[in-house]
Amino acid sequence: MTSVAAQPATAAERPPSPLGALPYVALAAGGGLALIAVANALSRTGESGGSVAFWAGVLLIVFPAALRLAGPSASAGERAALVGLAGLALYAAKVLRDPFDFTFADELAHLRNVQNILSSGTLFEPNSILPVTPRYPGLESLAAALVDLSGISPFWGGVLLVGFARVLVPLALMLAFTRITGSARAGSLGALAYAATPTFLYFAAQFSYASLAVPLMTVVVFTLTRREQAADSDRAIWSLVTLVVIAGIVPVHHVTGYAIVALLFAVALAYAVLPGRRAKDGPWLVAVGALVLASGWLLLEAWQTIDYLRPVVRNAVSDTFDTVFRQSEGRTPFSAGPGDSSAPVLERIVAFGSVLALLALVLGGVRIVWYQHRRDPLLLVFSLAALVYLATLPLRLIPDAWETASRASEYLFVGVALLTGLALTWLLDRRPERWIRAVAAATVALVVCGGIIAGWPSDARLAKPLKVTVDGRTLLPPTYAAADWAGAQLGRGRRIAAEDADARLLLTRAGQTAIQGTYPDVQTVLRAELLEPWMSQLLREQRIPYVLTDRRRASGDNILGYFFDIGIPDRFPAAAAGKFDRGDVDRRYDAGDIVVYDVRAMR
Amino acid sequence: MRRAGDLLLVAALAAACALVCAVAGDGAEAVRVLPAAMLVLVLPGYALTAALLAPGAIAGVERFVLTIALSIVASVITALMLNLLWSLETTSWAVGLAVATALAALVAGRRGNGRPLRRPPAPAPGLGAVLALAGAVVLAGGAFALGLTPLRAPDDAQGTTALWISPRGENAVTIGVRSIELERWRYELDVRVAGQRTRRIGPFVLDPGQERLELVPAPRLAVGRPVVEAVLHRLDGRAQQVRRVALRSGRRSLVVKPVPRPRCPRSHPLRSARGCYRVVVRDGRRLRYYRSGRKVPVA
Repeated sequence: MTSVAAQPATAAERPPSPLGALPYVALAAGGGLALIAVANALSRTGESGGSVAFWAGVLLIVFPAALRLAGPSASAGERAALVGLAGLALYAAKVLRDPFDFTFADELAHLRNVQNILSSGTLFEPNSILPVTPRYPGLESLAAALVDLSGISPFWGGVLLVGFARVLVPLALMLAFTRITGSARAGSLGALAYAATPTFLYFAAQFSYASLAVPLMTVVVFTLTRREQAADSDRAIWSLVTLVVIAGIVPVHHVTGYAIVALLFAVALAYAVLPGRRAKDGPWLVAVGALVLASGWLLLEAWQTIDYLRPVVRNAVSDTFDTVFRQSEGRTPFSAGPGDSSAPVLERIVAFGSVLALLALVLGGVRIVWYQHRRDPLLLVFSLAALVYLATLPLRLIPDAWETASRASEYLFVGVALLTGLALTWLLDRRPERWIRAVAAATVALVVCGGIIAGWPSDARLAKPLKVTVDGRTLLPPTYAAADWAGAQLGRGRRIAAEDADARLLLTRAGQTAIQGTYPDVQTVLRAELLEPWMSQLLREQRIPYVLTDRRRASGDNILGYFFDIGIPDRFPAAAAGKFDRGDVDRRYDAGDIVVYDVRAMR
Repeated sequence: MRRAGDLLLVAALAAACALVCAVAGDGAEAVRVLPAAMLVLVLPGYALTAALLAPGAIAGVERFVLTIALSIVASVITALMLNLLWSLETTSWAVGLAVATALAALVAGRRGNGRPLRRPPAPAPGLGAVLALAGAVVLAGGAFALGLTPLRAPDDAQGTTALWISPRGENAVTIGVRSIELERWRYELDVRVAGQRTRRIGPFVLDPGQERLELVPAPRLAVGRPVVEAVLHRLDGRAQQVRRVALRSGRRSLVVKPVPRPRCPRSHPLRSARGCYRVVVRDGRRLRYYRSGRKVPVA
């Protein structure tokens, strides 16, 4: 059951190279990356055809690896290399989308924390956009260490760090799944299927604290499986290893810490209730230790987390009720928000097909677990997680619950991936024909593509023009120029009210204390057509001396708001910015859509 | 000692990496990046794994996973300790991580968890496999080379021109014009100090990415600092106002703007030097009502 060795293979099936098929799969992955680079280049220059190249590239990365893993002849080492290669290649796809700078909303907030550590030499410096993030300084401290020690830029420090962490995900899952299922094929196929998590390609690969914590969580899953299968004498040491990894996760990310506590208690509880299992064998001590660590950090260092997470959960719950009882409209699938362009029809078909495939695989996997492994606490808990994942799919139709459901998928999908590997291997063990292998590999590729479609807006999937060349000179977009000007001319650390995308650039490029959003409600101050007395009062009370207005509606979009506009942009009314053109206000910077006002003397 | 050769090597590597990172100066990123990555992401985890687990307890891939994961953990905890006891800078990072690695290696050595150094078996792939791997490296390298190359902007990409103003001491301001346009343009800049046009700059040409700075004297007046305004025109066939900036608050404009007098055609029957008027009889008196609102009794 626990063997990770290669399964027997015939001489005819065994490839001649000691590396197995790895070099050829690597060649395909390299070709896939080249196609993805071409897709992004086409998108950056406004040419068509990028989407086709992108999907061809993804298929070249996933399908050959899945095909090889579906076969019986690959060794354990080759399987590990294949899933690691696929994981790294998919991470490279994200880096190829943003090769010049971080452009994801959370990345910019975390980048500011790195800059703060580098400039002050201490942790926990405040962050005006995501105040909770400095309380979890694990990611940023490591990035700062890499930057300090190597001299590379914070951007490349972050890319390197997340790249190392991303290697862990497929490898740790493969090790864990192989031990849980007793099959290297199930383990490796399951690990590859984890790439079908909707957030895997982009969101989970960004420079954000969850991108470091979730890989560590997969290592906890692995060490937990080792603990469960260890002899009594070795159990304590694996419990200690698990706790040490958890001690590293707690200062990195809040929700991942709580997810691990929930997982450990669920497994311990499974030991207590399953017939033939002894409650005392469950990971109670590890669970209690994890709870103490997570709650201790929360209470002593990061109590702001409660205020941060409460509205997210509250809005998700209340919006779910409103939508169910038809008091509010649901969310349109395949769109990021109002006005967002929807995914093409073919992509919708693939996404629905992938959901159906996952449904069949999970239910098939649950059936296998029920008949063959129903007394295995870990498998039972992960099966439950997979069923909860299916139950969260309808939440994607609810605006405020969508984000919660999407983020929960990073944790719940571990169960889906495990059952996917189990179900596919069950099929492949009974039908070893080559075309069945091809169908299994195609199914993995289908669910991975479906996850990509479901997880990221189609119009933001490929690179946008950020750094362009004109007559041999390199230009950055007007938003960057405005942020650079604010850093150079206003001095650092100024409080500036701005739209979301502008605020994040002011935070990182200008070192300003950017204020955005509705707490305090600077968004209304920026977008209203009339300047009302409470607005001036708010600016005074919040000690905001500068206001950056941006008429482009994209400036409120923290995914698409950073790039050169293509065509005439959709704009807020002119009066929204014009209301600051008063005798007691200085108009300091004018770049057309973007204007910076000094409102210190405004009455 | 020979039995713990890996631990000795790890401790020595940690010290060497720390030294390279601490000593090599700015501009040596290519030299420092590998030692830095080893020191943060590999060496502490290897030593910690050895401290926790006996050599036979884990296989190759498991050791690799635990090495990276426990390195991350060790580095995070080292950061928290350094924050508490020292500060986070190059020297402290280098010393802290090297010490953490050495301590873990020491514990591992005491527990007898070291391994003798052995040359790993070198795979001998065939020509086809070597060519495939080389092709993979070339393709991936090409992908990154393309990705990292700035390309031309799409045809309908929107550039812009930025005009800005900043005080420069008490008696001057700096006015800047920066082209973020995707083509070359001609401009003209009007500067008004205290309500009067003091300078017209241009026409001048800016290439994409180019910036022009002007230092404009705006001396303090008896009544205070003057209002300074600048208007930028982009000249593309017809003059067009494109940008406007102003330093106004707390400043004074000395020139009272003249009230424009209503125009009166020469052919108007009731016309005087003050303009056109109409005659209104009010309370028995005849008054000339001028368009400006002025009332003058008819003599």
